[in-house]
Amino acid sequence: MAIGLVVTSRDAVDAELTAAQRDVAAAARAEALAFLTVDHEDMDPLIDAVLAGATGEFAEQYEQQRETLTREAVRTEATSVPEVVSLGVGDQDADSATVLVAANSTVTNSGTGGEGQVRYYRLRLELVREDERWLTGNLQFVR
Amino acid sequence: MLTSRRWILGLAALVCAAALLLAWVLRDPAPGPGAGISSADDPDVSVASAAVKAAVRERAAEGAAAAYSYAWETLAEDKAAARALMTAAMQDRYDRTMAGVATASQRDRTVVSAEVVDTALVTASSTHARVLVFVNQRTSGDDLAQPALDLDRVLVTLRREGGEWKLSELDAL
Repeated sequence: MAIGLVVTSRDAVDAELTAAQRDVAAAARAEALAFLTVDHEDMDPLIDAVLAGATGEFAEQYEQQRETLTREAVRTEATSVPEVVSLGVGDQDADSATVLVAANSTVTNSGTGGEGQVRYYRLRLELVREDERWLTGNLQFVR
Repeated sequence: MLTSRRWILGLAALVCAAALLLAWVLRDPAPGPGAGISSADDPDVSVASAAVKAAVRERAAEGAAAAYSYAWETLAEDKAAARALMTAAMQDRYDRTMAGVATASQRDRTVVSAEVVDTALVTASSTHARVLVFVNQRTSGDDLAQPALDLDRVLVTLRREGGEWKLSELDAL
């Protein structure tokens, strides 16, 4: 009886839509965090992590930037530790989705004088489903 | 004498704190499902249907644009338009915020326009929802040498009341 009441009092939920949204959201969170993470002492695995979740044009462009990104991080002694503050899913169909991410990152570099500075970001990720995985094909800062 | 007066002041402060707490509790009687969720990959998220998702994204955009826009010349109309999209509790909070800006906005001839850049769903049951909204807010006024632009991230909470989605919380992140 109690179980019956709990079940019937719950809101109607589209289980398939809910699961699909959660999947793409988790992939976008991982990619946004990888993209915003910087550690001048060990850039290669960080760049590999971004590329592991990337595809298409975004993957190509990011791979081309590998040397520049590493050189700049080392030159400015940069670190960036991000957190996702909020994340939502925009339009989504079976094999593509748009995700918005509000993220804050604590940044240090030769210009911050050893003090961490918080940066506030708005990101838009376009993801596509390839071989049962959600990969990011485009990532932009939203102005 | 001094000691007893201090004691009375302390008691008065406690009574005030209790009254404030009660007012707060009364204002938000039930946060409802979805409260506390800020990301769409939270294990407790739900998506009621594609239609609900579309409806709450649209209403969140409309409500955030109205709540974050006002012009000194049309303040009364702007406030009425924003209030029409809010729950009673949200209207109270909005009224208190706007009471603080009314005088200054007349003096400085302030115009604030909010443009919604994009929206995305965090969670939506058939009665409660959360939407992440990116808002660009432009402010101009006599007190500003040039218009200011804020790139905001707003978490909008909505509640379905009498068949209509209303804004119940606006949280600038």
